[in-house]
Formats: sequence, C-alpha cells, structure tokens
Amino acid sequence: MAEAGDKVKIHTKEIQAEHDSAGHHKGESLTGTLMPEEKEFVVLKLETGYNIGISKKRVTEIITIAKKTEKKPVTVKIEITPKLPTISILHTGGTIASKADYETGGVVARFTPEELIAIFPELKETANITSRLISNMWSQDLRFAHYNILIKEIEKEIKKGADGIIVTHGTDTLHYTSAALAFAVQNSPIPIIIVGSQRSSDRGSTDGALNLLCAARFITQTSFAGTATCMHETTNDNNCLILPATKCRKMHTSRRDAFQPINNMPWARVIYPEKKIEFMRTDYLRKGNNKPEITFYKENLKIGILKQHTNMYEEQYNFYENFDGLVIEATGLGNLPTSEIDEHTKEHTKIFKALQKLAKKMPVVLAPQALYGMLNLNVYENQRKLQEIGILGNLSDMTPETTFIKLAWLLSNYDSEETKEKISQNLVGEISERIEPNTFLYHNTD
Amino acid sequence: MSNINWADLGLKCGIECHQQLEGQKLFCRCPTQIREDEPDFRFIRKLRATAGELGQVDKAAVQEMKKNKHFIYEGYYDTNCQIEMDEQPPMPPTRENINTILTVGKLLGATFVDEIHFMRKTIVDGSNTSAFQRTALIACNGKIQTENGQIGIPTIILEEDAAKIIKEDQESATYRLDRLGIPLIEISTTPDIKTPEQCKETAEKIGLLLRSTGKVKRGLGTIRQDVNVSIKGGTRVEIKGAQDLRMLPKIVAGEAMRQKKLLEIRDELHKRKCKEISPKIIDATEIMKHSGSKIISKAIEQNGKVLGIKLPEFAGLIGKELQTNKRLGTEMSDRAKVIARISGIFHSDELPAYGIEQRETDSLRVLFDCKPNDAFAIIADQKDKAELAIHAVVQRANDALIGVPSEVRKANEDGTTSYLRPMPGAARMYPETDITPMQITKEQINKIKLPELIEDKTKRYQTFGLSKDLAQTLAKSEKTELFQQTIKQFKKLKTAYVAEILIGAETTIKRQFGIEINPTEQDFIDLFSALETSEISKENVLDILKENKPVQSILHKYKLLSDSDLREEIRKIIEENKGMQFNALIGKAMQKLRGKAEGKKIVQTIKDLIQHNLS
Repeated sequence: MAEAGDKVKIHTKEIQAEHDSAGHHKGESLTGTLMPEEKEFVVLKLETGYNIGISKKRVTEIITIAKKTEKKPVTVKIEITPKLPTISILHTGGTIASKADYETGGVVARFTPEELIAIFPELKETANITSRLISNMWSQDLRFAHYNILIKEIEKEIKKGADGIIVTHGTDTLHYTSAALAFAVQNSPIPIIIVGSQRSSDRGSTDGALNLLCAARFITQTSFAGTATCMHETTNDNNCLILPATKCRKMHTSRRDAFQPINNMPWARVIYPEKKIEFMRTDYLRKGNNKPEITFYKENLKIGILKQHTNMYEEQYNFYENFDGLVIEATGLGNLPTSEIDEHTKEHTKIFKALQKLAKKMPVVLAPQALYGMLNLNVYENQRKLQEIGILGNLSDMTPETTFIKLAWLLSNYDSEETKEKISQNLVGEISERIEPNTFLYHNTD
Repeated sequence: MSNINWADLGLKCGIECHQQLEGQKLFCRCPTQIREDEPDFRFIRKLRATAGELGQVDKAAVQEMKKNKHFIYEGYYDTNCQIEMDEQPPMPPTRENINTILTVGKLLGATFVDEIHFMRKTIVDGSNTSAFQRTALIACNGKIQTENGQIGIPTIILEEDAAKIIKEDQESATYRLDRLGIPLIEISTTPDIKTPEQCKETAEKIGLLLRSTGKVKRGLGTIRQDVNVSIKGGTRVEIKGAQDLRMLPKIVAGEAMRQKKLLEIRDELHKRKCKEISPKIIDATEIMKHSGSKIISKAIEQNGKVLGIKLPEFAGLIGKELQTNKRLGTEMSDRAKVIARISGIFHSDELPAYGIEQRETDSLRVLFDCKPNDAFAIIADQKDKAELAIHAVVQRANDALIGVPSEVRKANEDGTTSYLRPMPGAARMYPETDITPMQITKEQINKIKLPELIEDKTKRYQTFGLSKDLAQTLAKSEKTELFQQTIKQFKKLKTAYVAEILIGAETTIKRQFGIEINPTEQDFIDLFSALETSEISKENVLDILKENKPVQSILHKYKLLSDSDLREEIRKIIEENKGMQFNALIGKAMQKLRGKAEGKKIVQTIKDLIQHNLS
C-alpha cells in the first residue's frame, strides 16, 4: 500500500459515461509524491510542486516507485556563551515554531533549542536558549489543567536559575493564559513573557520571529520581572509592545497588532531595528531576590461567562445554577435586564429572581461588555438592587476574560467569602484605580 | 540572424504567458485597479526564508535573504484591504475567475484536474506581502496551432499577481499593493518552439485566444511573457518580463547566441586545462591606495578594501562579448551586484581603464601571480561585501567551466538580458491551507459557453468585405459588439465604412487635429443613425466627432438641408450672382452650403434651376 510521502505512479481511467468532448476525465498516468488523501480524492504532488486532486473513481492503480525517505532535520550545534543570560522557552503549541514539510505539505512543529536556533539564528546573539514542549495544542483547546502543567514548569525554571522565561502560545486565548500566570506566579524574580504569532512560522512573513526576538531582548536588557505579553505594536515589523498580563486582549481576528492594552498603558516598547527599549510605565516589579509565590488552579472548577443582550430569558441564567462561579458581561456601566416596566418585561422579574438564587450559591461578578472603562453600580436604581442581592464587580475595569480567570484562581485558592472580598481588590494590577485618558482605544498606528 | 540555422543550433524554446484578468482580485473583493496617484498608507515588513526541511532552504530564497532587506508597502484605503496586507486570511476565488480559466482550458483543449489545490510558492523578494504566491494547477495537456506546427500546453495555472516595485536601494525595496492579488492566468508551452519568429507567433496566438474570452485586462503590462531558451549542449535559461511581443525574436535569438558563445568559452577553458577555481581572496588595497579610479578611492576613503581574485586561464575570455556590449565580465559583475549589492567589478581584460593605470594593472598582475593566460578581478567596497562579491565572481567563473549556468535572467529594453537569480528548485511549494480545495465537475465544464475566437471572428469579418488588417483590428477591439449591432441595425451603411469609423476615427482625428476624443457607444449609434437616414453627410462625420461632445446635442448643426430648402438657398445664390459663370456659381454655392448638402446634389440643383430659368 502506498502511503503519504511515497513516490508513486497513478493510472487513471476514462469514465466512459461521464466523458465529454472538452477532454475532461481522460485516462492518463501521473507521477509524483502521494499526499495525505481526502474523502473523494487522491492528492498527488506533481514534480512541478503542484498538488492536484484526482477523483478516486478514476484511479485504477497506484504503483509505489520509491518509499518515503525519512529525512533528519539539519540542525545547528549550539555553543553556550557563558557571558550571555539563559532564557528558557516553553512551548504550549500554536504555530510560532512550526515549519511546513514541503513533501507532504503538513506543518511540523520544531521545539528543541537546536531547531529553534536554526529557525531564529538571531536568538543566539541575545541569550543561551533552553527549550521544550509542554503541550502541543491550539490555544482554544487549553484548559485549567494545562495552566497547572505550565505553572509547574515555570516553577522548575525559576528554581533552576533561568534569567527569563518565554512561553510560546496560540493567540486566541493568549490573554487568558497571561492573566492566569499573573495570578498564579506572583512576585517572580525573573520576567515571564508570553509570545504568540498571528502568521505562523512556516511563512516567510511570520510575525512570530520579531515577537520572539523582542521578548528575548526585553528579558535580557531590562530589570523587568513578572508576567507580560510581547506582540507587534502595529502592522510594521519593527516594534513590539510589552503589555500588562491582566490588562490586554486580542482585539482583532487576524492582524499582527491584534493585542492591545485595555484601560492601561503598555509597560514598554521594544524598538527592534534601533535596539532600543522605551518604558512607558515605571510601576513594574524589578528582577531580584523576589520570593515567588506559586499557586495552582482547581481543574474541575466550573466557571461560566454569560453575555448580556436584549430579549433574554430566565433559562439563560438558570443554566449556570450548578456552576462554581459566573461572570456576566453586563452592558454599559453594569446593567442587567431586571426591571419590569411594562407588559413586555415580565420576564425580567423572573431573571432578577434567578440572579438572586445564583448569587446565593456562587460568586456572580459583572464585567464590562464595552471592554473600555469601569463599571459603576451606584448610578442607576436597578444596579443598587443588584448590589443588594450580592452581585459583584462594582468599580471593576477588568476585561471579562481577566474577571473569569481571577474568579477561577480565587475559587481555587480561597473560600467563597474571601473570593467575594478579593474579587474587587487589585492584586496584580488587574484593577485600575484611575484610568488614564490616553488608554482608550490605545493604538499607535504609525 | 536570418543566416543562422536554428535547427543545427538545437534551439529549443518555450514560453509562459501571464495574463491579468478583469474584475475582482483573486482572493479578496478589491477591484483590480492599477493606480498612479499618491498612496494612502505605508507599512514595513521583513521577510524570512523558511526551510522546507530544516537546512533545506530554497536557493533562490536564500539569495534574497542574504540581501537582508526590509520592504516598504504602499496601499490605498479604497482599493486595498487587509488581505493584500497579509493581515487577513484569503477569501475563496470568485466564480467568475474560475469560469474564465475553465473557458481558457476548454479553448486550449486541455484536461482539467478533478480538484483544484491552491499552493503557496515561496517568494521572498518582497513582491508578495505573504512571502508566497498563491497558485493552482487547473488543467494540463492543451495545445495551440501555429503556422509551423502544433505547440503543446502542458499547464494552465491560475495565480495571483505580485506587488509592483516602485523603487529599490541597497537597504530596502518599495512595493505597491494595487497589482498584488490581480488574477493571472499562466499558460506555458512545451519547448517545441524552434525559431525566434515562432516564439512571437505562439505568444501572439495565446494572447488572442485569451482576449477572446472578453475577461482579460488590456493595455501595457497586463500580459507578460517569460521565455525559456536552450541550445544543444546549453542549459535552460528563463528570461522574465518581456512585455513587448515584437522583442521576443530578438530575445530568443540573443539568448541562443549567448549560450553558443558561452559554450565556446567553455571549450577554450577546457583546452587551456583550466580547473575549478577556489576563492583565494587577495587584499590589493595597498597597491590601489593612490588610484585615480573614483570608485576605488572612494571605497578606500570609507575604510573599505580592494579585494581581488586570480582567475587562471581566463585571460581574453572575460572580455569576450556574449550579447551586444555584454561580456563574460558583465555576467560576473551582474551576479556580484545582485548577491553582494556592490556597484561593480574591474577585470584584467578591460584594464587599464576607468582611472586604473597600466602601472597599477602590472602591479596587480604581480600581486596575483598572473601568467600570460591568467586574468584577475578586483572589487572595491566594504570588506564583507567585497568578500561576498568575490565569491559570486568565482561562482560565475566556475560556471563558465561547465558551460551555461541555469538561471533566471531579466529582459532589458534593448533585447539583451541580465542576471536576476539562480533557477529556483521545485521545493518551493506547499499547500495553501486557508483555501479549501475546489472540485471541477463535468457539469461545470459543460456549462461553459465558448466565445468566438478572435481568429475566427477576423475571418468572419473578412467575408463582410473588410480587409484582413481591419477585420483583425476590429476583432481584437472592444467594439465588436457595437459593430455587429450597427451593421444589423443600419443596413444602408457599408460594413467597411462602419468598421473604419469605429476603429479609425479616433486615431485619424488625433493625427490630423491633435485632439483626443472619447465617443461613447451611444455617440456612434446616433452618428450612424443620422447617416442611415441621410440627415447628415459622410463629409461631416469627422467634424462631428472632433467636437468631442455628445453627438445628439450637436447633430442639428450638421443636418443636411431638405430638398426644398436647398432649392430655395440656391435660387438666392443665383439671383445674387446674376451673370456669373456656371463653374464659378458652383464654387460659390459649394462654399456657402458646405456640409449642409452633398456636393453632387448642389451641382444637380444648380443645373436644374438654371435650365429651368432658361427654358
């Protein structure tokens, strides 16, 4: 049996019944490399490099000419440069270290230090690199259990004396993980920078290279300690922003500069071509003999996020009654549909009762659907009623995602009462006391 | 060139035609509009060569990366989107574009693939923001007839056009996004073209066939030809970017001769027992310290070096002309320029010259230990660049030992060619996973209605009494529909006359009066309608068009007088000029009534009236 990667000759037949004068479906024989097959088609890579699909109905014979040859990746030998700091790169998957296999067309992930240096040779001028794979998955598949694996590895690296850690991550939930690490690894003596890429590294136009190189440079050239993200500032391949781990968010489905700060300024800007780092804030943790406080997540916790919208029903709230905690993305300053004002709003009394029931069983925390700005539950009468029944989140400017992670972390490490108290306290920079005017839609487009 | 026997030379030539399509871009919904105005935005990117298997980076890709350039892209808010910026995944190709390529495939009698797979072809010269070109093989095994036999069409490809280069210097290249993503049909032929003229004929035939679809873009730069040429003992060389069909025979003949001369050089080198040269670089800065050459003194001033290499047994051969004004030395220099970004090299076959004196040349010969048959080359630049350049020169010299290097060259305006990059390997493609493979069904193919080929249309128009030239010009033009409608609607008009006005009026007016006109279809219809009903005379047609105003709005000025009005006008003229001679009277009337009545009619009316008076 021929397998993907084998060199083959494929004989096809003319399908008499379907044959037409335009020359479609003629019998022929084709030589090339067999690709992983599809449901109705055999896929062949021709010698020109092109792939074509051949209808299985037309294939009469596949003859293997030569079996696939396993090629060893050529890697560079790394020499340790004693005077350079050591950065440990932990991979959680995503595509920052992937390469296309031109023969089968698949994308192969590369994670050893040798392979990484082969892809990003500039890294070795900045630091000695150690590197390993923690998990290999798309970021939308990450669960709390993976956070714990990652936290344990980070703990190990700190103990081993790494000068900094880079976590590579898929971008979709990168801001959840950055928040999760910010709560779980506090008072870190070294920087932990989370990096992703919006164009995978198998492309010549990848943004991952600059993100990784800027993170490495930031780690080695500043006194910053603690968790942050490092991604493109604009569509240009020149600068990256170091963003606060609990106050950033993926704001675009696909652009390189998708990650932007929310209700806060970036920590710093790494200007790569000029080898410069510009700090935009000074209130960061410094490297040193900080004693790290490491905690974990309860893996079986059930926390939900409910987005408030118009025309809601009681069932939508009741759905969460067996959960451990709930975040509600409230509209505006923190409003929920709880007022019965005419014959069309009878459902709202039911919703209010459902909320009352939920709030007795678990922490229910509001977060701003508008993302920018702070909740204020003292403005409207109905909001005061929410506060009375124990709905939390007043004066919070945390994104829904950070609120979700914080609630999970608190419930993992504190009892219900402490959780309710701490949810509105600023622990690791996740809640702003004051929101500076220039933080709204902060985006440098130069 | 006519005395060259191409068959004896073993000339083999194949072409690749790239034709842009009208409509929307291939992978986004932007218009395919080419622009010359100031762009709205700019952004900067770096591109990296990516390895298929690690360490197995494509040769051409590595060469581009060696240049370590950054790229500046320019775009327009209203005609570019995030897809051309490589900030958003591609959208599926439009049905219209797929139908066009199915039409072309059918016209060429090709076999379609059962399922289309778009591929990513690695290109890191910056011309694609994504660092790859999306391309798919649609059909194989087509054919086209030429007067000198059938030429095979092994592949028909649908791909996206690259961004247009605006400027380039040593550190950066600027590209504009307007052209990026325009659908391109690539048709390549088998290397069965046997003469330079046949190359042009084949390209012309393919061009006409593509135009027959009515879906292709027109104008300069919308169709580009790449030519592959080899001769017996030579190597396939690809020549890119020939825009003018008329240059094709010159390019093909020129390349064949270049290869012939390279083979002669190889044979001479073998005779001299020349061996592979190793890049033993010698520093000649000291000797050249006081050189009168501006390039050298400037390089030394800027802390650069003058580095040299001995080229054993190459004396007299580096200066051998391969193309008009281009020698083997030029090829060494071109390659060093591309690879090391230097400004040029000096070689012993051309020295003393360029401010380098005999004395210095002699010292260099001593320094390099040159025997009479040995040559040398020197390069003045920053040390690392000069070293890279020397390696390029050595590489080119060693290629001369083998014969013709397999490379991609660019067509220059004078028909000569210059080195562009090494021939890329086949390992440059991997699947475009963002686009789902598309099935080509029998039903889809059957539904495609074939357009009348321009060649057939030309023959049909000839049967209407049009000359071959006029018939073909018309068939190729955008006015065929209008022509057919006009001759059907206005039966009194001669078809050749209609064709001449449709095709020739604009150029005639431009030539005679220097006025650019742009008549609409309605203008032509109004004009022909007035001619059909004899409201205006043929003599006024150019005058009407020349005004470059809506024809309907100015027709009244050119209307012919009715028979009774004409009689009245002429009666007045006769009365006012009593006793005037008959011929003088005609002259007078013609002058006064010019454009208001046909001359023949004026003469007849005067005759009638005079006779009437006399009788």
